[in-house]
Parts: sequence; C-alpha cells; structure tokens
Amino acid sequence: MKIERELMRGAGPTAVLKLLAGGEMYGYELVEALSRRSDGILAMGQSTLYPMLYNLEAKRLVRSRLDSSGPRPRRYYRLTRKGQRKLATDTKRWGALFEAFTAIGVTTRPAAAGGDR
Amino acid sequence: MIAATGTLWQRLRHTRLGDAARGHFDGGLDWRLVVGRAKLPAKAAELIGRVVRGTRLSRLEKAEVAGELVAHFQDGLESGESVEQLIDSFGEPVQAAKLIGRAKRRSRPIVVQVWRWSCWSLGATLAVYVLAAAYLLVGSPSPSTNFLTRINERAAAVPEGQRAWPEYRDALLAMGYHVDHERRLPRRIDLRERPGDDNWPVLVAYLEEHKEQLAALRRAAAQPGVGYQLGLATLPEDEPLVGKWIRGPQHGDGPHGPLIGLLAPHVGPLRTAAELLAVDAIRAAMAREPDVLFGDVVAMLGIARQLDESPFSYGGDAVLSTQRRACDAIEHALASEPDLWTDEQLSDLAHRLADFDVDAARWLNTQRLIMHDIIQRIYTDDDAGDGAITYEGLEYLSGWAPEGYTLYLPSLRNPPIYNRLVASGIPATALLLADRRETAEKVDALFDLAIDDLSVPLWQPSRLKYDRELKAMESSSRLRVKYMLVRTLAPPLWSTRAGLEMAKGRAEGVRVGIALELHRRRHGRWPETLDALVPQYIAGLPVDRINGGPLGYRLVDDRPLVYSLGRDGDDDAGRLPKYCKGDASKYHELYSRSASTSDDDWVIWSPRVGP
Repeated sequence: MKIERELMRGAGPTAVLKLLAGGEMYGYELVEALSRRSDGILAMGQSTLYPMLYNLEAKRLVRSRLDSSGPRPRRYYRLTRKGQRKLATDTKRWGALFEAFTAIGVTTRPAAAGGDR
Repeated sequence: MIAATGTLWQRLRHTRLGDAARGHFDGGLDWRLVVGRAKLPAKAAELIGRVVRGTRLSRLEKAEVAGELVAHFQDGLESGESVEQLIDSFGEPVQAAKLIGRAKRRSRPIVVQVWRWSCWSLGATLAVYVLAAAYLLVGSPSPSTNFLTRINERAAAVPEGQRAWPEYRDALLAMGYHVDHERRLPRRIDLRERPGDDNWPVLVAYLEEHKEQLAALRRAAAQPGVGYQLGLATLPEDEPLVGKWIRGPQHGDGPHGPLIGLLAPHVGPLRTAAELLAVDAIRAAMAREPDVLFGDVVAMLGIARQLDESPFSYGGDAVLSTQRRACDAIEHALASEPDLWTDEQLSDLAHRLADFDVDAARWLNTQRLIMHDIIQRIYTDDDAGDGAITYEGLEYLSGWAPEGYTLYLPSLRNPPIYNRLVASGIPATALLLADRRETAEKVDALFDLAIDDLSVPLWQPSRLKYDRELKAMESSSRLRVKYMLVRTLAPPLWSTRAGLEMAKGRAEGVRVGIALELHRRRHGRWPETLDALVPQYIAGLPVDRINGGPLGYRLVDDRPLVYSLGRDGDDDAGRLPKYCKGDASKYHELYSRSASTSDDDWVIWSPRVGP
C-alpha cells in the first residue's frame, strides 16, 4: 500500500528521525530500513529521501558527516539534540492521533504491544 | 556519456585548494568526474547527471549531491537490486533536482545565505534603478500653461487709446533718454542735484527746456494704465529706450517662454519719469508754480499706481519708491512753501494718498505663477497634476540656479562626462525631491500663508506663519532636500512686508501732515494733540504701525513732528537712529528682523527743509 504524498510529507521526517534515533545511518540504509520495517508502506525513493534529509539538516535536526574510510565515501546522518526533542514531540503527536483514530474506529489497537522491528 | 577521468584542465579547475597544494589534482569539485569515476551503468549515471544539473547549486554542493547519489546507487546494486529497479524507485528526477536544490540552499551557512540575498537584492535594486533612470531620462517636461497671459491680464485690459506707455516713451526719448547713456539721461543731467548744488541751474534749464515733455509725462500719468505687457523680448520701438532683449521662447521652452526671465523694461523709464517729476516739483515750489507742483505730485502718484499694473516684486519696489518720492515732494513743498497750495489741492492730495491701495497679494500671486511655470518646465505632466523630475528639467534649473547648485545639476558649464554622472543620479534625485504634485501643493500652501501674513500687523509677529513654515522646511535635512526647489525660490517676504509697512506708514504720516497744515491755516496754530484733527481734517487717525498704539506728535521749532515710537516702543521725542543723519527717509529698522537696540523713533512727517 502506498501512502499519499501529503501524508508522507508529515510522516516521513518522523520516521527518518526515529530510525536515526537508533544510530547514524547513510542514505541507502535509511531507504532500505524504511521499506523493510514498514512493509513497504513508508518506502521512499531518493527523490524524496535526500531532499528530506537536507531539509532536516538545514533545520539542525540531523547532522551529517562524510566517511571515506570504507570502500566508497558515504555520508552518514545522525540525530542532533534538537532532532531528539523534535522526535519526542512528534512521537507524542502521532500517538495522540493514533489514539484519536482508534477511539473513532479508524484504526484498531494491536493485540499485543510490539517493539521496533 | 560522462567521462571518468576528465582533461587535465578540468581536473586543475575543479580541485580543492588543499589538494592542489599537495599536488593532488583529483578534480573532486567536478560532479561529472565524481559520477564518471563511479563507473555506474550509463542509465544511472545519466539520471544522476540530470538531477545534479537541475539543482543549480554551487559546484561543491553539486559534487556532494552527486557523491551521495552515486553511493546510493552503488549500495543498491551491491544489495542485488537492478539498475532499473533503482531508477524506478528513484522518483521524478526534475522534482528531485528542485527539492534537493532548495533543501541544500537552506542548509548553507547564514553568511552565505546573507551574501546570496544581498546579491539578489542589490541586483534587483540596480535593475529597478536602471529602469527608473531610463524612464526619467526619457521623460520630458511639456509646459502647456501660459501663465504670462494671467500676469498681463490687467495691462491687456487697458484700452488701446488709453495706454500711457507710448506717451511716456515719446516724451522720454524727446528728453534725451537713451539706453546708451550712463544714467539714461544726457550726460550733463544729474537728477540728484538739489537747490544750492553747482549744477542745479543746469538741471533747471533742462527742465524748463522740456516743459512740453514734462506736461506729456503728467498726461501719461493720468491715463488709466501703462498698458505695457510683460514678456520675454523687447519691442523694436522700445529699443532706443530699453535696449534689445530676447529671452524666449527658445528651443525646448515649448510654446511659451520661461517666466523666470520675464522682462519688465518699462519700469526703469517710469522710475526716471517719476524722478524727473520729483525734481520738477522742487523747481516748481521754488518758482512758486502751485499748479505745476500739484501736477507733478499727482503725476508721481499716478505713475506709482500705473506701476502696480505689473504685479511682481521688482515692479512692487518701484511702486513703493515712487509713492515715497511723491510723499517726499509733498513734505518738501509744505516745508519750503507752506501756503503755496490751496486747501482744496491739499485735501485732494490727502484723498489720493488715502485711496492709494497697494495690493501686494497680487505681487505674491505673480511670484506663485512664476513658480508654477518653473515646475511645469522641470517635471513631466501626467495630465492629473502630477509628474516626475526630468533630466531636461534639471538642465533647465542649472541655467539660472546659483553657481554652487550646478555641481548637482547637468549643465553646459560642466564637462559632458560629469553630466552623465549627474544623469545617473536622477532616480536618486527623484526619490529625494518632492514630486510635481507635492511641489505645487507646497508652493500654493506657502504663498497662501505669505498672503495671509501681509495683513498681520507688525505688533503681532507671533501670527506670522510663512517664515515659520520656511523654518520648518529648514529644520530637517529630509525636508531641506525634498523642497529644495521651493526653498530656493521662496520670496523674502519679510522685506516685502517691511517695504509695504514703510510706504504705508509714510503715506499715513503725510496725510496727518496735510491735516495738520489745514488745521494751522484755519486756526493759525498747530493743534495740541492729533485728536484735534478728527474728524474735520482727517477721518480717523492712523495708528503707530509698529506697536499699534497712538502716533507720537510734538512741535519742534514750531514745526510739527509725527512719528512712530519705533522698535523699542518708547517715546524718544521723534529722534531718528544715528545712521539716518537726520534724514527720515533713510530709516530702515523695519527691514531688520531683530529689535533695534538703539533709542530711536520712526519719523513719518517732518516738514523741515533739509536735514
């Protein structure tokens, strides 16, 4: 199932921040993780990911560094303190939204609490 | 196809300074080399190339983006994805390029962003400035209103057969008046000569020789008007008298010439006519010719009245000085030959003086029209009362602006390159200077205040608004520049008011003097107070024009003295300031803005022969 662009615009950055909360990642790694861990629902191409990463960097929510030690140079992204705060806020908001959707029956609560996959 | 290695020149150009210093010319700043070296499948390299090119970023940023996209493709291929899959999941490349470019630009350091915006702003400002300059340089004034016809309304209304000017011209020419003479009259004639002077007999002989012409001058002065219309060129028939003058309209003036160069060549000859009559009045008094003397004084008053037909300040000065000359002649006649005139003649003169009303508002209104004429020659006209400053207008301004102003104006006096520099400053000038509507409105507001101020008595200076408005314009540098034109051309109202007050005060003094003389004739003595003159000899007593109180009056050597208490406001027994050396006509305290520090009065009637 593909998420609509407008919805993705709100959800994508939070998803990326969440992934980066687990440690620094490079572009392809992020694309791959998003697709895999969301069963393809949050899959995004480079044309979406990289502008998003650069925007997050412009807002000082993530910071990047170039790592030339590997077989090829890669740019790694990690969360800043500001990014962590933003993630915390967004998580609460999405939680509240989910609760509201559940309350009116748009979504259903999973049978058992599941952690990050 | 994107090259993998690039030429040496390409690598030299796109190597970071640090790497170049180490002799490592890798061309790392060239995104093409970055993509080429990755040896990606052609389709992927081509896609990356399209995106990177479309970002319109700096070469360093492009190299960074290219590096990251290359790494992404390489990671994908390494993970087992096909090029087609990767390209398919990439998304829309044009949109990607736009979003990447925008996001990258947002990430730039604040200094770079400020620099970028400054460059944009500067560029935009320059573009607007250049457009404005082009617009203003192309704009041209189109003077369409002929204000001259309004100025000449009164002169033009004098019927052809009742115009005095031809008679004055003929009489003066017959008396030897010529533009080539140093003082206009024949060399031997000096109108400053007085009885007792060496050449007085020469002057008397000249006057007697030209009795006929003097009579013609008196006749001309009795006409309803001079009928002389002001213009920008002299008439051929007037040339022997006033010379040849042509001031327009010239090329670029439009159908009507500029009023700033308005000619009034008739004023000089009329002044001389009044001087001739004044000298003849002295001669007639000595020769005990009461009717001639009376005729001379009446003619002087007539010339003053006729001069008021041309309402402008230079003419205004001539009106006031001619009226003062007539007053001096009356005073002199009553001092030297008190019984020469009949009571009727004296009453007639008093009435003529009382009826003589100088309308200085007309002078100011002429000045106002001249200002509007200047405005229509400087600004464009949008047919709705507004317009913008023009290069041509500034050039016109420089033609008569004071020397220092040509520094800021295009002028033939400046080198052409300097004028081009000035022209480049026109939009800035247009921004700083008031536009046509504002200038015109300010001129009108200022002249309305000036006209109101004319009726403010001297003892109520706090009611004067014109000078206050001018001061307000001087008070801020913004207004000083904005209304530069208005300030430069604003007439010196203070001296106009002073001249008017002096003339009116003097005329009132002479009217009181005539009433005193009539009283003396009836009662054989001077009255104790001026109040005794009312109403039999004068309808009402004028007040002291300086302080609004009663006039001073006393007898000195059995001669009456009527005076204003002067700027200091106390009675100094009719004592004039020292600089007058006893001659009341030299009193000029009213022209000074600061109050006099000396103890003195302003004598307006003092029938004594000589100082």
